[in-house]
Amino acid sequence: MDKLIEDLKKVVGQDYVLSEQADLMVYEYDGSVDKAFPVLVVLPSDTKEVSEVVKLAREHDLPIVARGAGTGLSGGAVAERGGIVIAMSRLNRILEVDETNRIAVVEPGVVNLDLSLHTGPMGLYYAPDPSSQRACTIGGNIAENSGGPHCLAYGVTTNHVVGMEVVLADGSITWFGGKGRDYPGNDLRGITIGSEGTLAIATKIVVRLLRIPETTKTMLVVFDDVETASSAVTGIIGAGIVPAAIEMMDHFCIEAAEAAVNAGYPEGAGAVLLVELDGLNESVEEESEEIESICREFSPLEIREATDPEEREKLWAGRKGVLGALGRLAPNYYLVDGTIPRTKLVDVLRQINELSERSGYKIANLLHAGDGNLHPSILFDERKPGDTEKILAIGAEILKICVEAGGVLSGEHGIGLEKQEQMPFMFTEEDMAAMTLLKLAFNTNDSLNPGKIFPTGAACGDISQARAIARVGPGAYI
Amino acid sequence: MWDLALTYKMPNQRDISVRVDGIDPSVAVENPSNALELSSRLEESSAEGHAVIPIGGGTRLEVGGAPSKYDVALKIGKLNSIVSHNPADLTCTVEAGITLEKLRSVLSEHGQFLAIDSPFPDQATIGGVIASNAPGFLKWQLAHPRDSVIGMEVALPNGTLIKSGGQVVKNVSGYDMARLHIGAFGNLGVITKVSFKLTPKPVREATLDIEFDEISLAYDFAQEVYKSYVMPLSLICSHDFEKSSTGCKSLVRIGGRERALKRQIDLIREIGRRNHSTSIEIIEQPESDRLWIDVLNQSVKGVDSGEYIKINTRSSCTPSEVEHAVRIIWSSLENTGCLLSINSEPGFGAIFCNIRFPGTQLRDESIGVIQKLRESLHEIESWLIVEDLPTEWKSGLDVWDRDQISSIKLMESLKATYDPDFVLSPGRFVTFQ
Repeated sequence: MDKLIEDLKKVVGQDYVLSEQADLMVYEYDGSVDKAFPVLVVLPSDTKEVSEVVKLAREHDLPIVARGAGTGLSGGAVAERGGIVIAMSRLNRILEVDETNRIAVVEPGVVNLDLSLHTGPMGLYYAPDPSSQRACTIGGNIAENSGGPHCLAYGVTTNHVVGMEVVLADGSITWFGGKGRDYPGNDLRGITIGSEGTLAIATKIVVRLLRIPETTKTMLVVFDDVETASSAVTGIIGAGIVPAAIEMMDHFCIEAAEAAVNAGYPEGAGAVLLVELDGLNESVEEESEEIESICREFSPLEIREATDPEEREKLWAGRKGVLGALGRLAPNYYLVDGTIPRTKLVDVLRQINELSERSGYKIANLLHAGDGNLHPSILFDERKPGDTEKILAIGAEILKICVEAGGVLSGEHGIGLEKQEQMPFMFTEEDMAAMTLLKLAFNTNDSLNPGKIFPTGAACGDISQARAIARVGPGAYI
Repeated sequence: MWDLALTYKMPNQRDISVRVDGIDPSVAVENPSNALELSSRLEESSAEGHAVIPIGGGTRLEVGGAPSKYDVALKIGKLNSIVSHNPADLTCTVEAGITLEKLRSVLSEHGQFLAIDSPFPDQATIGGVIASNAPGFLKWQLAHPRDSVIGMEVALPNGTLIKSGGQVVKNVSGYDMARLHIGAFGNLGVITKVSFKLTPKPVREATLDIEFDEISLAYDFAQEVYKSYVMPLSLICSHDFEKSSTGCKSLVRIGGRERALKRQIDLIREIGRRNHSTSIEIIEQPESDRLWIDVLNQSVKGVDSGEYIKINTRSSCTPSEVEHAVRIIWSSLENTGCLLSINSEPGFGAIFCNIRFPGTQLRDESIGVIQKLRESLHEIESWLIVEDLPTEWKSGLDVWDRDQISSIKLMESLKATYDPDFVLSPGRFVTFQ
């Protein structure tokens, strides 16, 4: 080990190889509660160094976990099998912004929001906006194919990355895609995005930038219940309008948000919809008029609108503060992430409510309603004996309901360690076998982020429980 | 056991629709009616050691290398149903053999469309369009056509049917396996079903036909449109060097509700005037719909003229290099006796050339011209695929411009992993395996 540490220090510099327990603790966890100590943490500063580190790790038969900001919620950045964590915090440069071609070349450690802040004065922005965008990195976004509230209209990470320089498991450096939009051959770029760091390590990323819209308008619409709000969502989409975002909160979330940020929702509010429109002045006007008239058909308790950034921020305050506020309702909550076809929203929410009543656990529902991405949050108290096991079972049951409704296991958090045992809900043995063949084709020797995505083949009592309980606090992100 | 009702042996009845580069399948033409049948046919062919080429509408069979072995044609045309379409979900799942036109007409009844177009939409199947990365000018928010795919079912060479993705627009559940098969020419598996993300059809559409005297003005115009708040559905610059070596026209397709459409037309007109356009014509639907189909067909098929040999090429580069690439192409061909027309997409960075070589010119001489043109394009990090050319030229020319493709070894490794016996389309794809 000492020889390896020395060799790594020669590659990245004396200060950038961490092996002391106290230093490693910082890299022990991510946004979930999964924890595992890496053997070493290495902080390279360029592609060549990443490549050398990967080669050394392979020589010593050590697995590698590439790590961005560690905000992931499925255990993706946790070094489950020890090995070397390659932290991307020094690969944090915006290398190029090409205004004419509306692309930027960035290193994987660049924080998502920093890119848009950097390009903002040029009238451009990077569209995928996970709620953790103040902290999460573009490299991490690629691993998880991250979404965000505004991906309803503009798509997720894979739709905005045109090329990547990557280091493969043998340390070789190559490009998938490039600065152009169209390349012949297999779409290696596309297969790597969302592969949770198991196929390759991105070291340079070419992203598309979009023109900042002329106008943005936020509408807050309050309804009696989620069924009515869901019908309004269906009405909006059915009218041929795809807003930039449609978010929904149920009565538990409203209760919590009201107590925490004094959002000023009217009495009896059972569901709040936040609808955001952007684009040409004329199209925002025309579409918001239509949305208002659709919502009026469902007798809303209140409609508020804002185009001014500060006013819009006020409308978003309740939604943005709700996760932290849930702590007022219970000591812990377990956040589930499934996606369903949006027309199944009412039915799935009814089943979740039934499950809640049957089990006696409150479940607060926070939804990216436009794209059918649900975040039911099961409220519980981990100090109560047996509570943990029960809410885990409820979480799995919710995912089963989502899959049975034609949905999927994860909308934006990834499978990681958290949901790997639930993969068979959605995929056959053959489906998963075909997926795992990719690791063979990429010749990874299962050295890149091993132990993730696919079922382990055996239930693993305590560890599995620890993996699944996302005991996230006020700082958590979805 | 083969079902003779679905299969007929060659060569008693020739079916020229399955002929690839002049080669007929040596064993059979399979025409299964569903995915299960297709997968059994594939499994059987695979077990027999036959080489199989999946065939959709047959509109792009000329693209790619000549098959190194061709025993079985696997037609997907009978897999042509819409599996599910719930308009309010803005998603649909279709069998791969449905034609783009049929899908379009069903979606249109519900005020929706798929942001993918292709030449010959009445013949081109969804499976073929996706597998062959068919060109199209429809660029919803400048996204790539692959961005509309959200799920897929594929028959692997051993007949196993696998699925990935789903019918939802936001999904990180396992690997996004569909990506392996988009643009892969059926090299790793046969696409049997595809799920798409749909888009509401614009309430109204219009196309502006704008003429310029100078090539640079047309490209300045295009760049200015993309800098403005207009978000064109399509924007191309069209050059016919036979008619004029300096003139150029731009076609801009836009859509939206009443006021938004009017505003965009006003903005485009203003930008056109600023860039000294010589004429601006507005074309309404349905004429504009037909116009775009014609322009796309012409882009990939070119114009036949007796004494010339026609080839069609496709290149890509960054949007800002498109004008430069067009000039390189024209200057490389200007004094060669060739006739040239080009349609380019300055927002997306794609260039489609129709080159007509004098029939009297020797094959190797013409190939030499293409090689030289390629070398010039490589200098600006562009490439040139020859998509349509006489079969006898293929032996003297790498149609894919393979040297420009990075990670080719990894693509070869994918082939060796998923199709170790080289059952599917051997010789046709970039790996030539």
